[in-house]
Amino acid sequence: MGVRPIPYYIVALVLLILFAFLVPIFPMAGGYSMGAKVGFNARFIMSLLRHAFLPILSMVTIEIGGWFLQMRNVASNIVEEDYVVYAEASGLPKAKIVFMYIMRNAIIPQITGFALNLGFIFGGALITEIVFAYPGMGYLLYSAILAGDYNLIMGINVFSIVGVSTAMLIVDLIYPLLDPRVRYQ
Amino acid sequence: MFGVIRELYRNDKRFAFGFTVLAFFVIISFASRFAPYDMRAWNTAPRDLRPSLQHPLGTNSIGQDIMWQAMVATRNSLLLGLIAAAISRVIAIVVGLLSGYKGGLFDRVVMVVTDSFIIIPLFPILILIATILRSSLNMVVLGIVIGLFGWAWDARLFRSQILSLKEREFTKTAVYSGLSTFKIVLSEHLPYIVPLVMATTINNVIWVIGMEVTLSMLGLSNLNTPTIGTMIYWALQYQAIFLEMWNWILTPVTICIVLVLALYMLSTSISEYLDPRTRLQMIRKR
Repeated sequence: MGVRPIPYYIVALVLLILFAFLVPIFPMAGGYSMGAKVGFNARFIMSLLRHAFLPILSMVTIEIGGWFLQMRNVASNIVEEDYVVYAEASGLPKAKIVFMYIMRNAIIPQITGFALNLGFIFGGALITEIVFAYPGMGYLLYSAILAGDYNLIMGINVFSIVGVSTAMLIVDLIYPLLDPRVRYQ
Repeated sequence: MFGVIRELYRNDKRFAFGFTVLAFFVIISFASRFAPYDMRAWNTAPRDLRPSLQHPLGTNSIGQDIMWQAMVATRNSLLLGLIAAAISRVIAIVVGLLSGYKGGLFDRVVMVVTDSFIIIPLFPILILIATILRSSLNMVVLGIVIGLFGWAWDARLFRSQILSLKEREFTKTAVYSGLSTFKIVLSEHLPYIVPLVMATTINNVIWVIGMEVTLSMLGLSNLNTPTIGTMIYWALQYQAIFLEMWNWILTPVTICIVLVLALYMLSTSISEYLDPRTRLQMIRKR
């Protein structure tokens, strides 16, 4: 849990130095290899994934602790519920109790958090994208701010608003599938 | 006070680590007064030197001694954290205590303001303010600006504590003996939340340091003042990673990680000490 307070771009810098420079497994910058033809084929997708790996890793390293804690808290509450005790008493296998009885109920707050986090895809990855020179929304926003290009800033904001509200709508529609108690009339 | 520190220092490894590291950084900050160079100026030392006796951490590409630079940067970052934390603490305590104690319409109006401060997307606003104030942005102004935005959550926290303190009997005794509202809140209620204030202050300092590094890495603060953030900014601008100048890029990164970790361990250790349940476990373990 100790990594949680470290700013995520510092982790990004350390990862960049370790895995892109000292041990050059991953590329240092860019969204895909130079000169690669943009298209829906295996080579392009592989190069896309290779370039995205370090930025993703840097954010996951920091975020995972908080998600873990939340899941643990919810799960430790659910374990006390009557139906879990009943399932244990009727001798169900442990894997089935964990995955079918506990996880299905504990995962609902995680889905909500996931939907809220989708908002950060557009704004929060700003500095990670700058450190990795990754041509994403955050980098675009940064150059728009520096250039004082207000139309572009507004456009990016519209994109992020539409993105977040769509994600929330989809999650709202998924809830009944995960939790039978939720019903929309 | 000192007794508590000694007890925690002996029994909690995290507190010992955090306290030692923090003390080390504070000593460094005071020692930075004796810097032989002007840290705002460029070309005060030969460029691109590897670590040597004369320059223990080498020099960078804009002609500054990295060791002294890092020491001044630590002092500035800690100072900024303290200024911002002090301002936001004062606001949070006054708002939290008064609205919790007064209740009624006053409480509702103040809490609406607090809630709006909590949900304001802080980062774009700080970028906006930093771009506007950029020419006059020194440490104090930046500290005030960040401090003015960091109080809302803790004000809610303090208010929730006061809500329960208000119902205790000593409050009624104080009211009947004719103390004024300010006196009751300051001399009767404040001592109860002082430990909570301590823990949130440390968390606030962590947050402020992170915010400053963020702003500086975007090039939005006064880039001539050495702080942890501006050191990283200049190292990245001059491609220190490609030039393999590890002494330049890794010094601020290491300081940032160690400082933040130390403060975090201090705050978790203090808040565990304050929680009566975990303190009982601590006492039993001994």
